[in-house]
Amino acid sequence: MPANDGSLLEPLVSKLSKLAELSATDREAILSLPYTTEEVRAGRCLIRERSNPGRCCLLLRGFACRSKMSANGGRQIVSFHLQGDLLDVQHLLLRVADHNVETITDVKVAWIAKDDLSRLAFEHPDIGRALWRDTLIDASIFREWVLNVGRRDAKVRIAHMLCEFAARCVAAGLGSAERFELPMTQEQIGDATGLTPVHVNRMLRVLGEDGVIARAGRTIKIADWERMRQVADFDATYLHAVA
Amino acid sequence: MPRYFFHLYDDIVLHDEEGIELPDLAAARDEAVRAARELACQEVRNGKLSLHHRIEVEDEQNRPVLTLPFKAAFGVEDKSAG
Repeated sequence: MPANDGSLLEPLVSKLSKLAELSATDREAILSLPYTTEEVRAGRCLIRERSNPGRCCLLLRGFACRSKMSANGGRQIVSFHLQGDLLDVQHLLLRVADHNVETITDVKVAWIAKDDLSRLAFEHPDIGRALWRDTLIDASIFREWVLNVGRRDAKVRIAHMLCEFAARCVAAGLGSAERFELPMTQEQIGDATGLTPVHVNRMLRVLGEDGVIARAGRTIKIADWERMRQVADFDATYLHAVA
Repeated sequence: MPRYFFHLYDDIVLHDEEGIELPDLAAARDEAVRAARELACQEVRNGKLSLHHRIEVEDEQNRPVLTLPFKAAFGVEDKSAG
């Protein structure tokens, strides 16, 4: 493995620092992890279901999602991801990928051997704790998405998805909650909310007519967050303040 | 794959700026039917179904290639008396 400029792993340090109290030694250990980088175009598969990944994927730039396919070809997106997210930390302990990880935009990723990451987690208990919390928060987000797709109507579903995305962009240092870029297509929003793209477009229009969002191309503006939270049934508790 | 645009004519006209890449016109029709059925379901849930709504599909050259009235997207049967 070639020597790397560890500073590229800063987004990981910054993410894990929010999940546990890390010492200077912990931070140093993360930054000295060996890795390789790769630039991948939008719409590609980073990790394929049923594969046996020997490495973990850290998203350095751009947006990605996790998804599963039904036998009839329907795709369900189960989470969106942005810079600083580890896309498959479960592969430290689970051998086979049980879902796909796909790019939404052009991305830059760092691949870290799972043995290296695993060793880091066991030798530095606070890093281990941070990774554990990360997977627990992932699970919390999945639970919220089950509620979203199973029990909320189309308008609330989309509003909720927008709120979560805004909150996570802010946490990752991308844009503000009042104004952010939405990288997903209507088709991808539909796959995340169990709706057809036409229905997504209609509901975005309704949210615009209701005055809770304003759209200009891919830019979303939310002027009144309190109102948006109410419309979206959004309570950020499940993000545990760090996602 | 060609891109098709699905414009919705319900109480308003909703232009599709993005479109969807689909293999052919048959797939575009399937997509329009799927959307019409889903929107009709939503209407039924809200208590009012409007059968005159429609979806107009255009290709990449903005040529209309298909009009799908909602009532052509599903059957309605009523065997009750009268």
